[in-house]
Amino acid sequence: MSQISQPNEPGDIHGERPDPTAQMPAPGVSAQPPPPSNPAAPTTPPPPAHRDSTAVMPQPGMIPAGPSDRTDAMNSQALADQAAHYQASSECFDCDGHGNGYGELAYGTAMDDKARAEARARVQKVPRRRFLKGAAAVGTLGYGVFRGSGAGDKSLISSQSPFASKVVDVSGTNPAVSTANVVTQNVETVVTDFIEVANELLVPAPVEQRVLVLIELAGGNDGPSMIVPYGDGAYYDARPNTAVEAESVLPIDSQVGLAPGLAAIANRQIATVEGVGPVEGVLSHFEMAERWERGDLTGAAGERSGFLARLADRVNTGGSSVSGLSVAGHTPRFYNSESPTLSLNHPSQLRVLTNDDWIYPLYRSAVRGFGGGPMAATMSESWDRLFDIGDSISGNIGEMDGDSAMIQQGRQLGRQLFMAAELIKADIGIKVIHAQLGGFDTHEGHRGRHNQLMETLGAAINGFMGMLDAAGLGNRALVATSSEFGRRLKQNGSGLDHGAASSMLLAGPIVPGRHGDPSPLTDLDRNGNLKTTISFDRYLATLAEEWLGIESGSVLANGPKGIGLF
Amino acid sequence: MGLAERDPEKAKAAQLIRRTSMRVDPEAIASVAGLERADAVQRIVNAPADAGRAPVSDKSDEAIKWWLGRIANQPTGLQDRMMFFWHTLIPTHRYAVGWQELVATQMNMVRENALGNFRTLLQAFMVDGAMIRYLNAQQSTGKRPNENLARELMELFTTGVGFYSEKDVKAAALAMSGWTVDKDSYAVSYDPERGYAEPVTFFGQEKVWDLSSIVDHLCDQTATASRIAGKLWYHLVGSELGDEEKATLGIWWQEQNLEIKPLVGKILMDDRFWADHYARPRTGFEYYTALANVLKLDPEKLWQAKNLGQMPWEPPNVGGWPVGSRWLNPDSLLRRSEVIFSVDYKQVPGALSASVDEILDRCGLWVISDETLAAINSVDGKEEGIGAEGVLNLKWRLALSSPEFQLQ
Repeated sequence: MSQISQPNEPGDIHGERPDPTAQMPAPGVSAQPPPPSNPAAPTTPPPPAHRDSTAVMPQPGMIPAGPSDRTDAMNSQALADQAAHYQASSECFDCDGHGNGYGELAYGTAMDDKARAEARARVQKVPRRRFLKGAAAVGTLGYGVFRGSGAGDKSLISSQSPFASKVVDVSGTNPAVSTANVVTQNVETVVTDFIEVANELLVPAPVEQRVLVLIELAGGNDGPSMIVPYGDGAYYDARPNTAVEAESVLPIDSQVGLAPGLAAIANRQIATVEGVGPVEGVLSHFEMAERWERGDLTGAAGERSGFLARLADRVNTGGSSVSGLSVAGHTPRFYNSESPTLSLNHPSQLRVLTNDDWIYPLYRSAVRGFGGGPMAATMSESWDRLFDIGDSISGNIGEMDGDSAMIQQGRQLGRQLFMAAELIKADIGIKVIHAQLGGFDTHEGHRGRHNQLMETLGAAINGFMGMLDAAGLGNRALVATSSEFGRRLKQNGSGLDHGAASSMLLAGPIVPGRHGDPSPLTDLDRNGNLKTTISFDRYLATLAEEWLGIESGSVLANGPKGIGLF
Repeated sequence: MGLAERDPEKAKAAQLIRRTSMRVDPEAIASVAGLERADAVQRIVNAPADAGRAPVSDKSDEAIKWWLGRIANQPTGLQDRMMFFWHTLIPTHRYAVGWQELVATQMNMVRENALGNFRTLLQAFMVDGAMIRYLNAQQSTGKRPNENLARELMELFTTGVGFYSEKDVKAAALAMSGWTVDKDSYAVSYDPERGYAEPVTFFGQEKVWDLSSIVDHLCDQTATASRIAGKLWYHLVGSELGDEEKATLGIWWQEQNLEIKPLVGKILMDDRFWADHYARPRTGFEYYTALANVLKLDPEKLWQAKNLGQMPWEPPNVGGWPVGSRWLNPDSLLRRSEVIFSVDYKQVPGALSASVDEILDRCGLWVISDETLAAINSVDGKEEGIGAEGVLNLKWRLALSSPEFQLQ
């Protein structure tokens, strides 16, 4: 069970919406998940089971019960006093010595000098990258006392999060939080939890081992239905019956949250990039899909090859058998690559290479003997490459677990990402992968259809990351979505028309939280569509340059700048 | 690697049929076997045109399937071969076109002009509804010209880069503006209100140009004739013609008033057309049509062309499909073998009682290397205890996977 999807469970010690039927053993003590055997000794919590959907973050039961757990028992003056105290005793950690990336630790009144020194010493040992990630992750989950600057900054303080009560706002920028939610906590516990989170977060593999998995959400994915601006009334005004209900959103912060369909990945390391779209866009699927395919922002660069094709060429420095893989069949995204790419629709297509029923080995052996003139030599090389691939793939690639959530709920995307994970595991040099989920052209019945699509997306990504985690390769792959355009803010009947800017979702060893710059809901373009704040070529440049280490100018016209995700 | 002719006359006939139609079957090969070169070429070039036309409906799949049916049954097939060539040179994407009726209409236009005059064909393309919608001419007005069609006309369909300037593109976009397709009747018309009737300077001449005079002027360029003739040479012969020879051929073609049949005839009479067997790879669609021809595949399996990377009227972009050795890359081989393995040879009449010679005959393989023949013959299944049918299953798959069958 995802805790985030259960905002009102009894463990919500903030107690804004207490469940009258819940059996609470004592005020502020969590009843579920199973209460700690000794609630009186909360400073030694069990280590969170990494990436388990219920345990990336510490359990509610780890938070000690105390008189201040119930804010309704405190008067506002006491809260303000306490807030001031926390402010005064916070400490900044400048992790890179340049003022970039720091965390702030607020000390609790219950902490003596010795404990404080110990906590400081322990926090200082956390590597900078992890520190940032940890701060952002804790923040994303609305838990913690750390404020990460930069990318993680926005996401730390969440008054809407089910864990808001555990947030101590030391930034002073969110009065609602700093007055209502400041609670006395055993900071030692939080420090311990923070370090656990920071150390458990995935740190990217060396650049030469990294894989980019681009999932094309075909048809035009509506950004606000995926990263829901539930804190903005304009969203609900524009969509009387197509909006995601605020109560069902999985909060990221007080403004936006994930669509409920994404519950499967809500506690994974995920990030958003908001406001991504075209410049001088058009509303044609084909035209905009082609611009994304070619990485051609305005359609005027005259590119004749796919963006992923160029990436596949650039990453293939070692002459690998195949550097680009489409698991969605043939795609223009790989057109005109120099480096070999492979396109599959179904794992069974690999049986020519891997199956050991009599006909396949005989076939493989016989084709190696072909002659046929000068061009036959080219073919012979290609067969060799294929057989190399076949030798590297485990024989069980055809054996998808059809009952797994990845396939049942992940549907065609689950199958695609299953193949992707198997081929990443085969370690044959694949670094760029294209997958596709269709059905986003929701002119009618938007709410139900989009929710279903989010469930599919969540289940497929969750299964994919789980497969890689199990193989110890979770730090290699970055999953990133794309879509030809977003959809119009104002609904049209039960559906949404073609739009412009949208939100992108990323999963993998990334700084969790919100990135980009959300399109304002009250300042639309002349078609009534969300305005672009991050041109989509900058998003692609981010994936190329910051993730794969490929210079933007070598794969994109005019070398757009990345947005600084890594 | 010794390529050997199993029968010299059939070998020549097979080469001619393979390269001038989308067929490989014994009947087609027999129709020109034993003829003198000039007679065979005349028979191919001057075969009566097929009067059949694709059904115009809102399902362009039906039109393409209709075409597949014609490919399998036309007496010679040069018309189909040239239709394919023109489509790859001047492609449109059916989804971008949107109105599917326009796709079949364009197919029929190309079919009618495939062996006519290049100038006429290109003029027809520029006022073709599918093309107008594909390259954004619909939105191009004198006030807000869209350069897409004008640019591709020069870059891809006529001279190629290096013979025009950006100013020429802008001038042509203005002069060619004002053409629209009616959303109800799909009729194409020129609207003077949306066009531009002022003088512009195009290729150094300032005057009032229009779409037709722009196309004419580009067709008058030797660069156009040389470039298109060179592309046809590669398509039919499989090797690249040198620049000088391209220029010579272009000038010769201009003297023929850009008539297509004489150009094809001249290329077919060249020794180089007959010299090298298997000079270039079959592209995805060429492979698919050859396979469909041999195995009598149901046109309903058209989607397999997509899996093979070349669905007609779904080009990767306006530049069309790539040519050359990428059609023999690992991905192509895997896709082709997948289709070969998906076929139930029991359903192919006589397939599982054929001798190796009959398999080769039916595949049009009258020239085959010793190595390939040995590879096909090497499987007898004795060691594995495989029965005769199983062995034949494998022999078919090997013949269809061979370089000889994957090359033109």
